Order: sequence, then structure tokens, then C-alpha cells
Amino acid sequence: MARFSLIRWFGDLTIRYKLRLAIFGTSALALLIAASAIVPFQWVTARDSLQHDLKTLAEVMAANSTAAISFGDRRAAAEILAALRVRPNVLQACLYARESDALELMASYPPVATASLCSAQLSASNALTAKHVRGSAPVLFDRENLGELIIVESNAALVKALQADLLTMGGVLVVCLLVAFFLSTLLQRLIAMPLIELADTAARISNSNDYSLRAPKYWHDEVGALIDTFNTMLGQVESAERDLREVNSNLEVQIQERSRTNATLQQTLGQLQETQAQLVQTEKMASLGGLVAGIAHEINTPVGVCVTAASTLSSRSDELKQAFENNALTASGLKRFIEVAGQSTDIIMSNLHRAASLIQSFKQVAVDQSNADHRRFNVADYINEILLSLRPKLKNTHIDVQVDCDPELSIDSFPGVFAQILTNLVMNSVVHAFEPDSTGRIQITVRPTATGLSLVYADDGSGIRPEVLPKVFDPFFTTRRGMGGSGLGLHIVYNLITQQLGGSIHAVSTPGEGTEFQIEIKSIEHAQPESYSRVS
Amino acid sequence: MRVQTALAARWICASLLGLGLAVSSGTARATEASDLETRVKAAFLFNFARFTEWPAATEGAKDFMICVAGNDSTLTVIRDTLQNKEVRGKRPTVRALRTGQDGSGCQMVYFAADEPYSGFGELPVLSVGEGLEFPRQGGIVGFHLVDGRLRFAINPGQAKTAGLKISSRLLELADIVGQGG
Repeated sequence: MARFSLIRWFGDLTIRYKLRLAIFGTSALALLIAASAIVPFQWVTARDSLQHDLKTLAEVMAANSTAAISFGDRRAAAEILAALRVRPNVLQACLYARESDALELMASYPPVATASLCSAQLSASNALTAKHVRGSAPVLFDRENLGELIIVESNAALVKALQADLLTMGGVLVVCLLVAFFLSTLLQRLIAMPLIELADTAARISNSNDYSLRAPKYWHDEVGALIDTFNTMLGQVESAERDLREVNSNLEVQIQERSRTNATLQQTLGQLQETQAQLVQTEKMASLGGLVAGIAHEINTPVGVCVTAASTLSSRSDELKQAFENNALTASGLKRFIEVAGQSTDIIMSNLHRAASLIQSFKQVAVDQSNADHRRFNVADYINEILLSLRPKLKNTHIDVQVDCDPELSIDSFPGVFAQILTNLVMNSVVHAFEPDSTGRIQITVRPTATGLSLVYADDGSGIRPEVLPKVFDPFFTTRRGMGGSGLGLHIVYNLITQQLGGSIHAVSTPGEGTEFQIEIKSIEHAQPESYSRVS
Repeated sequence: MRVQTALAARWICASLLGLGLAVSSGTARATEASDLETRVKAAFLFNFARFTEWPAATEGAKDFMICVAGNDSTLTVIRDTLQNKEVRGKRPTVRALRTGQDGSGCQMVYFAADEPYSGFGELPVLSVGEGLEFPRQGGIVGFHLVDGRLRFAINPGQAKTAGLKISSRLLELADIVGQGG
């Protein structure tokens, strides 16, 4: 854990410090490793050398003291040991003479008060203690072991040498760190500076979005290659950005133009829709006008007959009155008058009845057409009433209209809409499907469905060409422009069925054989709520 | 070897101790004291021999010949003392040197007190006598007492004349006489 955090700590350092730390660390570590190898080695070597020295010294002095021991000359022995004063680190020296199997102290150094210390040295081993180095040698002469010499020296010299070594190492470390500092400064210029400049440039670019900036290149190394690549990328970004900006400004102009055009279009569309609504209304009124014309025309005949019969009755009444005043009234004359009066009254009565019934049926259609309310109505009867209102249009043609509908079938819907749909379809057939003098047949088949009724309106006229068929419900599409076609008839049919009645209409046609409109109408309880909220 | 060495050491210590006793007890027991002193001197003679090199010609001899010019008791004491000793692998033989005999055949000659000495010249004989005058008057080593301790004086020039090499270690212990020493 600590290791990872140390690595993370090192990893988060700036390259400048990383380099410096790496060089410092490496040189310090190398020196430490070298020191940890050299210093103990030096210590051991110096100790061995000191021990060897001491042993050699002991051997030399032992050899020198052979005579003194042989002659038992303590003074001479002490003089020999006194030579040790040239070695200031010597703590103690003891010269023993062999007496029987025991060793007797002959002389010691320093001369005073060390006899007891020397007796302790006899039993001590040659091993190096913490503070002392001990060297001993037997006093050998002429193949005889005369005694023993022991020299004990403090290891002050060793410590001093160690201190000197450590001091040297410390000095070398300082010098190395200084060199490392200069090296790292140099390396920083070589390695870190280009990287830092690169990072600076990148930061400045990301702050200012000025892609014309370039990172300075110092050397032709990997970093140099990186900087080159970076600069190349910058160039690409710069040109791409310039292109983008250009395209953007163009796009903005285009968008402005488009939105202006769009607004115009929107306005035009609004006007168009308004016009369309007006046209639809006009068409409706025209249709109503046609209906009124039909009613007038239809009623005109019985009313005319009534007028003729009434005028005949009136003139015969005048003749009867004159004959009566002149007393010229004859029985036969009265009898003739009564016959004529009866006939006339019959004619008038029957024709007035006819007119009344006509008005009654027209009245319903007209009311429905001008009224948007829905009600339940008998489909077969209503179709017949509509066809009756269309009789003036159909009278001069040879078109036979057949209705196949259950007389009991009724539906809750918009009868006015229904009437207009059927009227428009019939008029469409009259205008487009049949030539003026040709005979034709229109078949209207009504069947109840689960949600309302299906109405198939089929004529056996000229049919609709396949390329025209998809456009028959489009507004203002007409093949009879300038010949009375408004191009709105089938569009109104489509709109009324799909929107007001919540139904559908499909046109199927075979040119030369006829056209068939398949219509589905929903009753009010199955229609979409919006269907009757969008009343036009 | 160890036994001999141990003995040698014991002699020295004993002799020095004895010497001290002798000095303190005065001349009343001169004969005993003289005996002890002679034994100490015998040990010294043995050590002189060990620290001296004779010319190669005389080294070839089988025994190490010590001649004693003195009375029989002195001869006996010296002989007893040097019994079972070895000088460079040779057994020391102690014999008397009668008045008038030259020192040929002897490697070392000890002249007891008052024994006449005329000098051996260039003969390779280590001559040891009594008193500081002995080495000054043609001898090589002379015993003398200092503060009750037995010491010896050496005339290195005479030793050189005799063709003897005296170890510097021995010279260090000695009082040097002759040659302006």
C-alpha cells in the first residue's frame, strides 16, 4: 500500500523534479551501495592489517626480548616494551617468561600498575573486542619457547580510519550530488524543457482555442518527433477548424435563408389553408345552392300543374257564374262543370300532395346539410331522399342508380356529412365517369359492421387511370380544369370521411370498367372524439 | 625440550633469588653463596653460548666444549648445572683448563676469580672472566655485580678479533667496554 502510494507520489511529480530526484536518487544510492561495500571492507581490511601489524610487532618484540628473558633481565625487558610508546594507541603490553608450566610476568607497558591487568590478558583470547585489538606472540629462541608477549591496542586508529572513510564518502556524496544537480539541470534542458514547453503550448491552446500556436522544437529526439507530430496535428486542426468555421458561416447564411423561405412558405401555407377552407365552404354552399335549385325545379312541376288546374277551375267557375246570372245555366252545363271541378280538384290535390312530400324530403336533407348535429337515421330512406334531391342532376342522364341496403338499417352519425359525401360521389360519377349520352349504372351497397357501416360505391364508367388514382383525393386535383371541376369534390369526401366520421376511403379503379370507392364509416359511439369536434 | 626450557627458566629465577639471598646474607656463608653464584654464572655461560655464533670451522665439532679455569668445585657446579642442556643441538661438555694449556678445542673458557688469563688472540674462543677489567684486558665477557644483581660487560672488538658474532640482543643487555665503549 505504502509502496503504491510512494510510486503514485513519484508519478505525480513534475518531470523536472522526477529527473532531478531520479539522478539524485541514483547517484546517492550508487554511492551508498559502494560505501556499504567499501566501508565494511575497509574496516575489515584495516582491522586485519592492524591485527597483522600488531602480531608482527609482537613477534619482533618477542624476538628482541629473548635475551632479556634468558638472562631474567626485567629492566631490559621493560626497556624493550618501552619502545611501544611510539605507538600511542597501545593500551597495554605484557611480557611473560615461562616458568615451569606457568607464565610469570617479566615486564609490562605502561610500566606501572598494569600487572593485574596483564594477568587478565593471559586468559583473554586473540579475538577482537569492541574497543581493543590484541596481538600476541610466543618468545621463541633456539627451538625453545621462552615466554609470551601480548600487546593490546585500542582500535582508535581503526575508528579514525573509518571516520576518514566516511568523511571521504560524505565528501564524494556532496560532490556527486553537485554534479548530479548540474547534470539534472542539463538533462532538464535536454528532456524536460521541450516537454514543459509542449505542455504549456497545449494548455495555452486549450485555453485560447488559438490553433495557430506551435510548440517550439529543441532537439531531434523522440520528444522532437512528438513535437513535430503535435505541430502537424495542430496544423490539421487549424485548417479543419478554419474549414469548419467557413462551413458554419455558410450554413448560418443558408439557415437564415431557409428560415426566411420557411416563414414565407408557412405564410403561403396558411393562406392556402385559409383559401382551401373558404373553397370548401363555397363548395358546400354551391352544393346547397344546387340542392335548392333541384328542389325548386322539382316543385315547379306539381305547382305548375296545380296552377293550370286551378286556372281551368277558375275559368269554368266564371263561365258557370255568368250562365247562372243570365239564367242560362243548363243541367248539362252544371253537370260538365261539376265533372271539370272534380277533376281539377283531384289534380290540384294530388299535385299539392306531391309538392308537400317533396318539400318534406328536401327539407330534411337541406336542414342536415346546413346543420352539423348528429342523429340516428335510417340509412336506406336517407339515401333515397338524397337521390331524390339529386334527381334534377340525374334526370338528363341515362344513369341508373341501384341501392342495396337493409331497409331497417340505421346509424347514429352526421346525416348532413353523409348526404354531402354521397352527393359528391354521385356528382363525381356524373361529371367524370360517364359521357353525356352514354348509359351507366351506379351501385350503392351498404352493409352494417361492428363499428358502423361499410358503403361500397361503384360505377361502371370510364374509370381512373392508374397514374391519376393516387391523386384523386388531393385538393384541387382535377382532370376537368376549366370545365366546371373544382378539384375539391373527392378531397372534401376524403376529409369528411377520415376526419368527421372517423372512417376510411379507398379508391379502386380499372380504366374502362369503372371505379369503386370502399368506405368505412364509424357510428358516433365508435368514432374518435376529435372526429366531431373538428366540424368544418 | 619443554622440560629443559622450564628448567632453564627456573634456574634463572632461582639464581636471581639466590643471588639476592647471597648478597643479603653477606660473606658468613661464603662457600654456599659462592656455590649459588657459580650456578647462576653457569646459566649465564649457557645463555652467552646461545647468543653467540662461532666460525663455521668450529661449529662442525660434535660437542660444545666449555673449559673452566678454576677449582674443582666450580667445575663440578658448572658441569651439574649444564647437564642435559643443549646449545644449538649440541651437548655442552665441561672440562677443566689447566694452567698453561691454550684454549684450543674450547669454544668457551670461563676464568674463575684470580685465575691468570693471557688472552687467546684470534682463536675463536669466547673468554668469560670476573670483573669489568677482564674484557678490557684481552677477555671478551666479564661478570660484575651492580646493586646486588649479576651483570656482564662485553668487549665487542675483542669478540670480533676472535671471529665471534655476539647477538645484538645480548649486547643490549651488556655493559659495553673497549673500543671506546
